[in-house]
Amino acid sequence: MSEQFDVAIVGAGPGASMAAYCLAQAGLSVIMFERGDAPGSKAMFGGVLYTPILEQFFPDFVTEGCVERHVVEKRFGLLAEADEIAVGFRFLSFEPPYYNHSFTGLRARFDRWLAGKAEAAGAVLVTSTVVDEVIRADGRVVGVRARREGGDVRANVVIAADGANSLLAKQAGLRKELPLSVILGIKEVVSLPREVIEDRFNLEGNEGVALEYLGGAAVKGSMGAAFIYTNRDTLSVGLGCPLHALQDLKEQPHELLNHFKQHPAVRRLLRGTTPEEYCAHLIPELGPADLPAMVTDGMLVIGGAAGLINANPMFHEGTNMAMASGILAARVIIDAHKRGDFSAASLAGYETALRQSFAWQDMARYQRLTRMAAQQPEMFARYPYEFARMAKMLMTVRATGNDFQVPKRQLELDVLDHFLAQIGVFSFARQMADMARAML
Amino acid sequence: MSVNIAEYLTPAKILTRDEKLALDVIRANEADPHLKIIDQEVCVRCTTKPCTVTCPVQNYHAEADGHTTIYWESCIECGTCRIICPSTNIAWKYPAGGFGVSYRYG
Repeated sequence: MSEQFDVAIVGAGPGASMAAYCLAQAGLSVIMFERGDAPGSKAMFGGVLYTPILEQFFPDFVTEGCVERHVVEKRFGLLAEADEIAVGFRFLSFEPPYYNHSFTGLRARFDRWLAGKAEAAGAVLVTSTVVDEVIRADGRVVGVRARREGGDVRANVVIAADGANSLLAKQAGLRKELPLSVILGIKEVVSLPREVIEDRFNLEGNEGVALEYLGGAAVKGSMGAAFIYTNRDTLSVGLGCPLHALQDLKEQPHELLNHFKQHPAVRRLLRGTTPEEYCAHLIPELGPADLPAMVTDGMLVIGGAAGLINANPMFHEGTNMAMASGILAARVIIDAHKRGDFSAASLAGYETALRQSFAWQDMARYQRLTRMAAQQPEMFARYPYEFARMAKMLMTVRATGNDFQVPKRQLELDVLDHFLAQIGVFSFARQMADMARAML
Repeated sequence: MSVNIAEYLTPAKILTRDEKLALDVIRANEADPHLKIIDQEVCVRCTTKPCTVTCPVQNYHAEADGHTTIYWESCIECGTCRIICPSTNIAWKYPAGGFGVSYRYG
């Protein structure tokens, strides 16, 4: 006789823990399986956490220490070989304690904290336990099989919250194999005293920055982006590129990160740092086409396992979308529990609610932009270099033979000539129109 | 507390693959390698070998005879090889509970 729970959750990431918390609060029996020795020990993100959901559920989350610094500056840079142009946003007018609901974080710390909330609400957390498959009976999912003696656990509903690779969702036919457009994210966490971080990045107290570097010399012209985020006394330094781009680039990903770290505009930000950890993870940004279904009889899929990631040049979100999907899944399961019906039809409300939420809408909207960008490799391979070059041409101050200094009119014409020759009005206009169309 | 700023103006350390891996806590399960090549002959016929240039810890090595060696002990379980192999020739599973990488930051 195996153990019986109302709900079995495979995974103990942010989506899993939010689902477990809501279900346990409603009085359902919940078991969460974490394959690492603690929640978060197999997880990695950039990363910045977006926290309106946390405010709603755990208003003291900031003082409880689950996050690092609140982001006051977002900067998007384009790197050429030795130059940089950037657009920065520095918002100092947001109010404490939540500011702009954007906090840098580290998953080993955050996931553990959130899983603790679920446990305190009554959920059972089992660590160091891999779940390889679901148990089926009469065509429906009735539990999970953990890889150990007597590892069968019966449950009315199984939530696949097993992250990027979600072997469970794939096995249950809820998801196709990940496409080569999936992003490989790698990062080094490097330490630096907090005073040095605050001085170097122009910060007061617990303020933080999120620096993004799109294409260009940050990733050797490949599709992708690199980043530096400030944590309390560490920096997260990393990059992400789709697998198809890495395959074409034929450069070891960890050496690509070394290359970024040594860029003249980047290396000065990293002086004196001590490497603490190297990590890598897939970022499973999917689109509606990769997700045939979100529910089946006795099972549903949430978070990264459901491809709920909004990874594009502008926004990098995912943990918030996972938490939202976990809450929505829990609500639908609580209703199904009252009805005593755990069929796909009874759980279908999850998909409806998810499609109406920001999580699905943002994923569906921005994956079109990502797909379009994949068809325009020059945006990453050439434009960062060309834009930096044109800016440099315009800003270069130099003498000429027949006058004291080159007049600005001449510089403007030089830039225009360069633009026409290297980029072209029509192709640029067409690309901008394609981008606008992808977003409409 | 005071910080001697000169200490923090030295160039950042640039690490080799082995130095990066040495930072991580990884417990290999010698009794049960979690990655295996299904058929080495498929690797011999493979001309592109994308596993050798996409694994973030450079765990895939193409031998002179075309066979593939996997340094599975230093796997950090990202799943790249599982998807990148054009012939789906890698038997891939998670290491057993308590084994594999254990991030302290993530």
